[in-house]
Amino acid sequence: MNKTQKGAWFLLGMTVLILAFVGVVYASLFAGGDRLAGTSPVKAWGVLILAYTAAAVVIAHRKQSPAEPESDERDDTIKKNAVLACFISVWVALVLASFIPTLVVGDNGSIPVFFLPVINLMVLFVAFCVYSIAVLVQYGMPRLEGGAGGNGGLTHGGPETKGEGA
Amino acid sequence: MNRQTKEACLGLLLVVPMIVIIGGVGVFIGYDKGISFGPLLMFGGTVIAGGLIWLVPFISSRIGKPEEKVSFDERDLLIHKRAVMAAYVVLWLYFVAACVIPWCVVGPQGSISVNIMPLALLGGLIVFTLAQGLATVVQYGRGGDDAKD
Repeated sequence: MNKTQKGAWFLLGMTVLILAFVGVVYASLFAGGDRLAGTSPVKAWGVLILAYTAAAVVIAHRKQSPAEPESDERDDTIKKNAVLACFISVWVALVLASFIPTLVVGDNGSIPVFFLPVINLMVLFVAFCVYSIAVLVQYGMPRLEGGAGGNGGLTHGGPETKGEGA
Repeated sequence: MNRQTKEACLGLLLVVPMIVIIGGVGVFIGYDKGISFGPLLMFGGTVIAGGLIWLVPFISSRIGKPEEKVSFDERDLLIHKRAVMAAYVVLWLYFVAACVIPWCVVGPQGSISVNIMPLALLGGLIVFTLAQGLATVVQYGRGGDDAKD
């Protein structure tokens, strides 16, 4: 698994964790009891996210071999295609975000303004998910026998590589 | 001025007013008479076609036949890519502003009409088209006489 794949997995995992964290925070708002009731799961999720980030940074910087380059032309092409998919998803998400409130509350309804940043964040998370999934799909999913991971292990070496191994 | 520069100028002068007229009329008909197929088609067609038209050069560069006369080379594609990237950055900043400004205007406990949302989307499309056209013109303009046919 090369750096781009690791980065995509990290982004996907972080998106899922943050969405779950938002859900936990939301649930803690309605927890009964004193002022600090329901904050323990929030703290636990916060620690989990920090631990995940630290582990991901270590794993992402660990190379398969000393000769592994930072990226090659194929990686760049895959990233560019993923960015295109991400842009399309952003536009589709924005179109949906402008229609769905009308369908939910009706033509003459109104929505609270605090909902607007939530829409913005949701669009951002959709973009992250689409980017990560597009990268992973283009590389191919990792093989169960612990091989190079689809075509992801075939990217290194060769005259067109750049970075440390070039 | 080559073909791509002309198209970018045309986009600035013609496409933006078309988006405003067709999309805006669709929104206001929907607001006045209620949502029906006609205004929905006008608005949906405008935002979907206008928002994804930047894909056309990427698709045509992949399915174009090699023996055809070259009218869009790799440099044009690179310039288009950068213009789309710049336009998306501007679009994202616009939507962040569009989410934060109402909050500041009506206060954290306030609410806004849902009819604002399609108008905000239409504004985003206009901002995107303007930014893309300007980025294309600026990139071709920087290269001296390179942009000539």
